[in-house]
Amino acid sequence: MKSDDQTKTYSILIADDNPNNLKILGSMLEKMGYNVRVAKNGEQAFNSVKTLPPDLILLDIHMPIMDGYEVCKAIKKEKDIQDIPIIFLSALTESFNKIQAFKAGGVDYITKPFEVEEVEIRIINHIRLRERSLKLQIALDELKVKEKQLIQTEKMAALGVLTSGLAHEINNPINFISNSILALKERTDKLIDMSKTLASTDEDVENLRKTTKDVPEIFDNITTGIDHITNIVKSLRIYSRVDKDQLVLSSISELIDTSLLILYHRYKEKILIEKNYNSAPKTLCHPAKISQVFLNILSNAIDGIDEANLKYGEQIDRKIVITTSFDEKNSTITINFQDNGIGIKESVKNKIFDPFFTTKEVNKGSGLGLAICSSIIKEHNGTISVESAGSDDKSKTSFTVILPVRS
Amino acid sequence: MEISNVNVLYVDDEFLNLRSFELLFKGKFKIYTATNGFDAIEILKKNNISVIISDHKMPKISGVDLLRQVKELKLKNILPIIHSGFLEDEEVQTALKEGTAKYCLDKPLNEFKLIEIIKEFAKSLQIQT
Repeated sequence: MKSDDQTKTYSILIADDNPNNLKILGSMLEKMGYNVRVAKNGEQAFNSVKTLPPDLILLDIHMPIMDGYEVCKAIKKEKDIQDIPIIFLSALTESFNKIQAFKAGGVDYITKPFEVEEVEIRIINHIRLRERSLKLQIALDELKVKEKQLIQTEKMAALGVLTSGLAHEINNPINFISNSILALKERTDKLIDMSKTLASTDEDVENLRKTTKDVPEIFDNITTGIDHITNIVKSLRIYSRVDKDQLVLSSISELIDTSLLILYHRYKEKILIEKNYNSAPKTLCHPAKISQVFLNILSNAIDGIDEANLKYGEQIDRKIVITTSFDEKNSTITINFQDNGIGIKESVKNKIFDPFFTTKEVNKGSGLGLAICSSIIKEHNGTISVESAGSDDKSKTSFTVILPVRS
Repeated sequence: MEISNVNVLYVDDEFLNLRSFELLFKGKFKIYTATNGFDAIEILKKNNISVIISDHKMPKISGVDLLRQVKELKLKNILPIIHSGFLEDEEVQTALKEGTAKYCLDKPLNEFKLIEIIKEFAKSLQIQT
């Protein structure tokens, strides 16, 4: 039997201790166009399913080592194979046996001797059902991601309204504080100069020196504070445009810096951030979304380093290296984030962009972060990939985002 | 033309912005202030203003709208400047493109940049006269 798209040949595993049954049923199914594998006992059947999961299993009940019920229960316990449909095939006709089979997790029960046509129809039905439920599951997952993304966008839009209002409100006081400090500094400098000419005794001169010694530093500190606030407010501005669906010409390195600024409280003092920004042109993008991708990757890197510190003890050389480069020929910007935290296991590397996949504790991660990142990058016609090498306390994880330059 | 003789009109709905501007630039050039667009237009009509610096986000008349009105007055030798914390604002960008505003200054104001701009403008006035 072929699938709806007529390209896939389905595989069926038959488990029966009677070689004659295997032969007859096997050749019958092969004629129908299935790939057929056989197992002579329950244990062999289970191992065969685990090594190479078939699309459907035909399971006899009376078999040596493990009987059909046991095989079925064992398969239902394994996450990767538990959804494979199992049809029991048995000479046992008591309803007791049937109930046992369905309780163990079988989807159907065919009594021997069987009608070829009946077996075929039941197989087709269950393969179709399984296929449809798989498709539904995928559609449901996609829907859930879209929903989360929508909620996220809504949240960011609300945040945008708040931050742009806030930024405007803060800009005004910063402006008049800044002007006032400059005005005050001018006058203070004059005052100090005038005092110098008025100081007549050595004592006066000494007193004046002591009093005014720290004045420049005090002004510098205030100016530094103003600069910091100005930068924070500026970096929040990108969120004020999140609700607008239009693309904005943005500097990628500025977007990285914005994400870093937001995460500052999480990495300061314990993680070194090394920036290798190479000059790259500005590109049209959704700045808040791209910044969200960087925020996610960086936040994961910090989590990975925290976890490594927890497991292997704090180390001073924990760092995140951020490299950007521009490929003129292909007109792409490559952004690479490398950390030396806990690393990503080879076995899960392929799953990290899947929706709902998470290695974090319950309630710590939705498993959607990287799935959303992946869909944002796709939306920008870019790519996102991961490499992780090494083990134990010497792991290196590297995320690479490649974005086409649009202007 | 010395910049100390240049008449600068500063428009902002925040009183402390106006006052701190005055205190910072007093003696460097002549300062007029207005808290809204209507007052600003009145001052422009009665005085020989060379530079107008306006905040953008103001109630009733925005800075860009004010500068558009100034353009319609067809005054000679006037330098229109927008002063806003949101340089990326579409309206501000459009105003810059169409020449309604010649410059856009960020908040907080860069004192030296403003003086530089006014000096440059004073020089161009001298060449013309």
